[in-house]
Amino acid sequence: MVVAVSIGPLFWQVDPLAQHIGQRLNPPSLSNPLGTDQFGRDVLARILIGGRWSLAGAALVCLGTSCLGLAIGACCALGPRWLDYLLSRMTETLQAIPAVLLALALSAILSRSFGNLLLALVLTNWTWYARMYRALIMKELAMPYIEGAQVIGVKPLAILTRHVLPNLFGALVVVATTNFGSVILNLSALSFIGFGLNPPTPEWGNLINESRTFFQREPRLMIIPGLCIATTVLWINLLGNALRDRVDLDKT
Amino acid sequence: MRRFGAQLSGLILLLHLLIACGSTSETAQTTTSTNATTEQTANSNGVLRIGTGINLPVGLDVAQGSTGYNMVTYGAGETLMRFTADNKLEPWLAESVSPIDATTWQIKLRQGVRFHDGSELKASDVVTSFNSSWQNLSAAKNFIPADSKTTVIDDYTLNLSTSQAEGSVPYSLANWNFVIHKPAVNGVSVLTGMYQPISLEKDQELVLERFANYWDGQAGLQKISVKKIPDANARSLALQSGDLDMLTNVAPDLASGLPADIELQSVAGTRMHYVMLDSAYPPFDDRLVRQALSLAIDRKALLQATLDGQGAVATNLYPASVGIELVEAQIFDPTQAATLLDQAGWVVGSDGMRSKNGQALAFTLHSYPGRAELTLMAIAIQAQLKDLGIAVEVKEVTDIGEIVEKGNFNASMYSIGTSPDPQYTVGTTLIKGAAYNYAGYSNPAIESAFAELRAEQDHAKRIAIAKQIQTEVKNDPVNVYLASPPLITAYRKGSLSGYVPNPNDVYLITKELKLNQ
Repeated sequence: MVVAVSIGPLFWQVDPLAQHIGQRLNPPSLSNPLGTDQFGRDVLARILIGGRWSLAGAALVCLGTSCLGLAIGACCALGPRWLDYLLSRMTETLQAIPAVLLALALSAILSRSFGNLLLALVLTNWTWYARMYRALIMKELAMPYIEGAQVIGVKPLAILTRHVLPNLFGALVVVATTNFGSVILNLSALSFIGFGLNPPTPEWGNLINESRTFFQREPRLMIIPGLCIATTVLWINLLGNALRDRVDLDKT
Repeated sequence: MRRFGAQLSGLILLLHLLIACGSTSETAQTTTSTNATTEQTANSNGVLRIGTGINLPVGLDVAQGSTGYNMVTYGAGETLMRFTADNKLEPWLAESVSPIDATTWQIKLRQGVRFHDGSELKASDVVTSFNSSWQNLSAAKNFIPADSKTTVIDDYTLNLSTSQAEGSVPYSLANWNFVIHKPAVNGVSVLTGMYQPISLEKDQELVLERFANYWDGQAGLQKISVKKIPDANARSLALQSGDLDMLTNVAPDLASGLPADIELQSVAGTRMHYVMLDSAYPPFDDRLVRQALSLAIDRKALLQATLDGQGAVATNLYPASVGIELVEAQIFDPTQAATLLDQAGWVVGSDGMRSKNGQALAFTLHSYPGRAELTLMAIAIQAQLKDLGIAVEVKEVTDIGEIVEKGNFNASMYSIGTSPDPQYTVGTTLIKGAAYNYAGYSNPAIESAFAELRAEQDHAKRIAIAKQIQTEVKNDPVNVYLASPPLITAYRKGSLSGYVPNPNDVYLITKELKLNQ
């Protein structure tokens, strides 16, 4: 799916925004393999471009949450005890509220834009990462080679960047990959209820939303983006599991 | 390899689960169709179950919010005048409304009309009712000024005097803000309709039952239950499964997906969808650009793409359904639109887009999700104007009021309910200071014609003045009128009789409406 949305538009160069009202709701054919929507737009082209927004958005959210989670996790692990206590309680408090609900509230406060939607997701999803990285960094800090570095006077920030992070890189990738699927789902869910990209730019979540009134007449308009989301999340989760087995977080 | 095998088995298991879910839904369908039979039998009790997505009233006092709208819609409340299905004004609780002089109207009441408390409607009740409307309903003042005087002549006659000539009084008396009522007892207004409200569960259900002493004979239904189901798909499934008997305001695209045993009644409504332009700022401060825009939109294609071809295209400020003679002004003419833009100095560049002195012809078109088809229309307009070299950015916002009231817009999709009274639409959209004239548009010719229209009591002369105003709208448009959406009602074939579609959605329930056994 990732390959399809990355290179698909290079081969299927149909304009996803071009309207042909006369070809409205056409069934799949050679010229429109997945048919057309209510404006006569090519569904395949919209799925491919929509997938780019969904996947790129989810990747940016994962990157943002990883960086923020890592920074807060490192502050907890390396900072004074009071800071660790304060940040840990804050993390737990935020975790007590469902992330999607918080993101929904934030999206409603911020003006409607894709950037604000991603920001809302980053600001509400970092807690899980922070706890994970705090534990991983603390575990790493207890290793004998770190104690050695501390004895010879290497500063804490240097220990983190030169020694701890390179060793945690595998774990970072695994954690982000495992979470990627749920980010796609959250992004699609918020996009479905009207936050995110302005029309007519397609995104998998808003493609489902747009086709709600056709659920009996043209169910394919809902099923196709739904299947894209489900398949992508399934395979990303399987990939995350495989990576976790390969890296083996317990040994890290 | 073994791990891959395990994952593959998991996937197969998942597929089985999905298939199993499919079988479950088949079983569920069988169950609901059994329910449908049971429910249809229950209908012989004469209870009409209506599903709606529109808000139910917050209470049963018509002096609060839009309760009056709901009460008239569901047959509980009545006004002195009303509009027929072909938009003719006719007396309802009044016998006649006629002018005595330029500022005074005499209202003769129908005799024998009973309130739900059993008392007879008298002229003094109408005075009390009007005073209650003026005091409690802010919109009432927009129809008949609150400084108007009422004088009781006898039990069945009263005079209504306005401070200046108001030709629209008979039309205004048909507005639900002037539903005839006695002050609420225990939060329930005393009304005169064929049904009386008996219970209201907030945001859930409104129940009404037949009023035995109704002045115009017995109504066809024993009870009406109005259920609010916010999701349109859930409403349509409830109708199909037999949990509801009737749906109102069905989305056109959803309606065309309903099975063949569902009867659809579609009529172009009196609502008008349009694009509001901010004539105070570029590029719409140029009359030629506004004129070009009004000719650049293919309204038939809009209707096809967003309302499944139903409803009616608009060519001037009045919807075709309100029965006012139209001056066709805003018709699709892309060649003329291009000529006007060229004249205004907006020329097509090498990229196919228009610009003037290095400034691109571009604007933001706001929309809002409250009426789903508006954003879809905005998307279609964006594509159509691109062909003419105009760049449009569509921006959907939750609260359109905040954008338009502060004047923070280039152009905005908007929608208003109109009236068969030619004065109403002009007075609320085109006059300086009018409720929906957010751009502060002012046109001396329209202002003076409106003053004339307001003072005129003769219907034919009012229509003639309305035509003058429409001609002015053609020369100097500030709104680009698009279409009137359809009002679609759905019910199972053969299950109802006596239903009369009315372009005014406030007359859903009629005395003749009944459930077939």
